[in-house]
Amino acid sequence: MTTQHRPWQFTPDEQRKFDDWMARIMVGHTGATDVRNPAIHWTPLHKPLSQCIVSLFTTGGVHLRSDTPFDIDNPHGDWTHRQIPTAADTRDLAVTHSHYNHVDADRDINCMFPLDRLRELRDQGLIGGIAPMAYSIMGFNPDPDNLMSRTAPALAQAFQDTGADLIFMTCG
Amino acid sequence: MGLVQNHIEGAGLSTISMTVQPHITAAVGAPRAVTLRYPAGNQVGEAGKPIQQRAILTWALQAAADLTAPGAILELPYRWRRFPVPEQPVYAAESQGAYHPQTAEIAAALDHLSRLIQDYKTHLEQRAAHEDANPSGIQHAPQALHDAVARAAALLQIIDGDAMDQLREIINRITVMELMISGKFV
Repeated sequence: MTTQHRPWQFTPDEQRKFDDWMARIMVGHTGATDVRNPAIHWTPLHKPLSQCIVSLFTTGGVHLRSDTPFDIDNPHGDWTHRQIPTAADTRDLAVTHSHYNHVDADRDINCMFPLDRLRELRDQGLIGGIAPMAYSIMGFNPDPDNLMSRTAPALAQAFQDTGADLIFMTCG
Repeated sequence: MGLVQNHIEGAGLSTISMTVQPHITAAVGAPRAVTLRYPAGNQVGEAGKPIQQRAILTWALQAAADLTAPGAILELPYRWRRFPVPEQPVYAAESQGAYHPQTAEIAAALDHLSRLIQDYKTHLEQRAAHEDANPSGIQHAPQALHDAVARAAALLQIIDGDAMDQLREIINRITVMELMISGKFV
């Protein structure tokens, strides 16, 4: 298993795609703002993977079927989050998100939210354990003001309270 | 995603994210990420294929331990519908959404084409090496053979990179749009 990596350099095609995407967002969504991280934070893992408590986070709109679905009708998106107990049966999870094709995730949630796979890796000893709670948002937020001022701090606190060392994240 | 990830990392938790749009992730700035050339709804692999999903998840978790540079994005070598271990998918549930079987057929055709070109490129490389070791005396033969190897490599790049990326763009954007229009997508 190699972990060679390179700093990501935009190719001209990627630059054009990014500019197109940003232009579409700015025209199509009232109140959209282009927010980027001014500095990248860095917290290295302080113990071997086999001792780490791992949790899941997704912006793919995953939630318990019994929970309130995300609001996909609001043109300004939905900045709220949902809690998912990691002891849940994955057949009780659903996706509410209208900005990516979740046909496959409807048939098998593990291709976006790999809770069953994480349990197998825990049983094999690759990770130390799974935190009791995972969290989810619906990633469509043209103006991330509420998301960053209210949801992100709440999520950081919630993940700390679960005792997680590492958060595995997928985006919708 | 990158915004929330960076906030959580700043609160003292290690994070690793999956992305299929690495240029966006790089622009926003995420602490650590893994990318692979899959559609947006399949960041941990194809539906109903646990071996594939486990391999991708394992690699990503290992990357969380191994990546040492803030902002690093590791690209996994997998391509959509071209995972080295064949698996018959077993689905946990039915999807209410529409599905485009053509996209799977196109992916399979691109996969086949890519393998054929790879094989032919290997043949041309051997042929060029043979000419170098045992010159035929034909004036332009070495140059022509090495040019052919370079062209095969360029062709492979088109099929393996650009063509596959165009297919993923169609899956990512147009199928979603069509599903929304049909009212089947919630």
